[in-house]
Amino acid sequence: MTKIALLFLMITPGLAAGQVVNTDSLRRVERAAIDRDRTQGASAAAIFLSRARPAAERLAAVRGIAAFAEQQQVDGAVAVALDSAEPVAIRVRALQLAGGRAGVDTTFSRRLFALATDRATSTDLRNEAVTQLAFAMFGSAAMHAQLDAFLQTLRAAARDPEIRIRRTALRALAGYGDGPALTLLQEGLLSPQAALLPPAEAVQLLGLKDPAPFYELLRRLMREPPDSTTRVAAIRLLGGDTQSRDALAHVLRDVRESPTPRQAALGALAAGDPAGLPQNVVPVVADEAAPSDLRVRAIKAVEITRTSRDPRVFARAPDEFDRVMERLAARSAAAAVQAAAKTYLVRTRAPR
Amino acid sequence: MTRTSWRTAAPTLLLLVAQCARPAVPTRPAEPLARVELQIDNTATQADDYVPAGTSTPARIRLLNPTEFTVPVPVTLKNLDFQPAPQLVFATSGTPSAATLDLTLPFDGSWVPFAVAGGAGQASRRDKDAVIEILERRPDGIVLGRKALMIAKSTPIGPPPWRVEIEVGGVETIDDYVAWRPVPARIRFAAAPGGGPDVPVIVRNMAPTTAGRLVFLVPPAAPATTLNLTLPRNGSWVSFFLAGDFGHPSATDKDAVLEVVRVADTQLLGREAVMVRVRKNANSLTTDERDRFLYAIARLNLGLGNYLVHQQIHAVTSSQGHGGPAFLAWHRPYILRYERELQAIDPSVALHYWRFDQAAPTIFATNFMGGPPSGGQATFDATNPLAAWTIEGFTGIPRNPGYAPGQSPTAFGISTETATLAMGGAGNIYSAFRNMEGNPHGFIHGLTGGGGWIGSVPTAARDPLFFMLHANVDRLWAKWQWLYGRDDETSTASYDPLGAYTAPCVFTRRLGQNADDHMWPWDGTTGFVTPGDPCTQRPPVAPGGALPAAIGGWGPPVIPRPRDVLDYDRWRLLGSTGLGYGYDDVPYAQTTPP
Repeated sequence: MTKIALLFLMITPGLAAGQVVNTDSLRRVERAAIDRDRTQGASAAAIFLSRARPAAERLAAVRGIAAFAEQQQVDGAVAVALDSAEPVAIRVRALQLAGGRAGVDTTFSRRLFALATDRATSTDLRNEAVTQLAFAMFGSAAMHAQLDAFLQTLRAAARDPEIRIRRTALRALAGYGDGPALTLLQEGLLSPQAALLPPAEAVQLLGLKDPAPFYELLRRLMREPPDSTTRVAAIRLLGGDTQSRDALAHVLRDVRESPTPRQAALGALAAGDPAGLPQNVVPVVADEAAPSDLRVRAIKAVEITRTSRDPRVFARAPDEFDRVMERLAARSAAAAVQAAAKTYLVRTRAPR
Repeated sequence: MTRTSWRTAAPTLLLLVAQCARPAVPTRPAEPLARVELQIDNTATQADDYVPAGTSTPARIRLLNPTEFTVPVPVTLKNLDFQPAPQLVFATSGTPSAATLDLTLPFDGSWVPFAVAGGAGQASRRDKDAVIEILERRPDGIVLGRKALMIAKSTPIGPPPWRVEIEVGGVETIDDYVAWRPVPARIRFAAAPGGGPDVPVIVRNMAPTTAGRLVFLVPPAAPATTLNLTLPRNGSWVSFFLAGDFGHPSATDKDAVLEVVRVADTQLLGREAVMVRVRKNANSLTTDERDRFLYAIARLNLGLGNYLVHQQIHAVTSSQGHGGPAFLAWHRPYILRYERELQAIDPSVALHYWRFDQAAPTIFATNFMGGPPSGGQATFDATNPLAAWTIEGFTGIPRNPGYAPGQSPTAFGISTETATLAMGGAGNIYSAFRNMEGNPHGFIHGLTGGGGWIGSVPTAARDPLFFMLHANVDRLWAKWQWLYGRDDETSTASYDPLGAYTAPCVFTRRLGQNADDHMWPWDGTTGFVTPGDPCTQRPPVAPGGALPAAIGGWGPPVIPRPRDVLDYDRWRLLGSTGLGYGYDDVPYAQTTPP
């Protein structure tokens, strides 16, 4: 039962017909719950922030608390996190409890820059510091105020000996299309000994914001991949590459290919060449031996592309794809394909 | 500022509402929205909105704002998508047989006749469950209205001449979507025997109650599920307000039906159908709600690419919408525009939210927003409309949540709802509460992205989950506002900084962050608004133009300021246009909280 339903039950036990929920009562109940949490949070914070208590007790006190809400408690957590005399586990937890402070407090974020790149400190603490900075990269005030410092810190963390730290840093940087980070990823794909992440992951991050500068490398990875996962990742990113269209169409139609790259090629063609999609997928959807999941996805992709605000808006003469749909709607060995074809016809060619 | 209950001010406002012309509501920049009226049996009363199957009933449709057009408006009449039955059929004349009908509305406002009937063998299961959709027929066509009727051999309305006419908002039906905030309505006798006294009537929900339920009021009385009115026999209008009954939102379009009965003998005089449309917890949607939502999203993106402008805006929003006081106020109209675009495709869809402080296994599933990732990509059923997701030349949705579908993100450091609502501190002030931009907001972006689009500002809006995430951010703000009465644009407890930007430059008070500043991109500014002043620097482009005003007239100004969006349900100004949305668990504020 949802919380709101429970609240209704609490405040409306005798609600007669015609009466409506008393929202003032509802507000009182909600505020009381928040106040209760505040009180509990204050008690937990008092224990956690007390250096005199055993670490186990301090950690137990904040079990289940994601982050402190009150500024005074957050201030305390920040002090603990930065105190090198505190046990590592306590400092890591304090960083978590300080929540988004790294995004609003430039002094604190500067301290985290140092912590994140201090290889002498524990891996867990470095990792948490990088995580906090990576999350603060989502448009926070501190990030806007000192963008260069954020980028420099994360670029340094991208070369950390610990892969989870490298991963966190590179993920944050790739989303912004950070040049030095993308160069590191590219170098790792060209030279495996320089790789900071597994190749499939590196490919995905390389093209996260804009894959166009890397089309040549991606084409090569599609032809000569280090593994099948990397190949699929490369195929997905080649939708916008006109030079790759024929190769993608070939992958889509090649019955020797496994379903995953064919599905990736379908998506890439839908993204890069929606107008040509019906023609590209006709041989696949018409092929009763092709995987029905792939055929249904192909039909759906064309249906959505052809369904604007309303089917009749795009009134057009039936093409080969429509004729194949008519045939499949009437008869197909795959029930899912037949159903998809019927839906396609209903939604794109409703009777006028 | 001492705040006055709307109950005190409402009678005056009620009068004002009755006198005011409705605002022009363009949905596309510089273009008017076609407002249309559709009548069954060629009368404005709903008493004859009952059509038998297989037998023609005359009907007509016209443009209500013809002076705004210089060319005819092509429309298509059709049944609703996702509505298997009952189905209507149409014809320009003669016996209706077609499932759709193309018409052209003259720009002199004259009526265009047509005929409607229930499809062969079709019958309604309840009143108002057969719906005509009026669609503007153009590449970026939008739904202009939905008229509910019943396929039945006979009418449940009492014998003539007693006939009432009911209007919710205006005469058009596109504004017949209400949330918890009361909206104006009115009723009158379209026909009644003359010579007698005024007639007492009751306005109430149709029984048996379906999912959507309404409350009614004439201020200063409190809302109730029934309302006693007295209707003059001379046809004068009687105004009242109606709203969704909190806790009883609609599940489908037109499932909230109000009816009018005569007090003396409980004779049914008329019925009208609306929808109590609110943003719901997406993890608890019905299959039908989920599918309509997904289909609208996919069509917005892959039909004509209108989705793209939202990505283009967010990709370059930089410090306009992030890292400052206007974070919440900027995203409110931004996601409202997205919701309005979805509603132009399907008016019954709302921007449902993802409660990211709870496990959401229904949302993170292959038949909804995507299951556990494979190869770094969210996974989808073949029949999920999002399975064919493409944007900016990309395919699929890169997303690697740091939690499993059955796990709550709070186990990974995301603030709980109560902790977030406590962030305003003991004084519950905005300048403290807005720190929620870090945790939960920034943290849930990062934790959910994991190297996927939603984890970074330039790419986040490519993932449609983004808008559900931000609906929840907005809901948390709305809930905080309701809990502590923080929607007063004159108080720094509700928004800080007040006033407008003035030099010298202080980054936290840069242009766009102050309550009276117009916000980018809707104001169209780019680059340095004041040469040499870094606090006035806007992004290099302003995609999308001014905010399209909301269908139905409920919405912020087309160039909103933070102050315009604080009081999203305008509880202190009954009769004004609120922003026209609500959340399933955030009530309309009936009183000032202590």
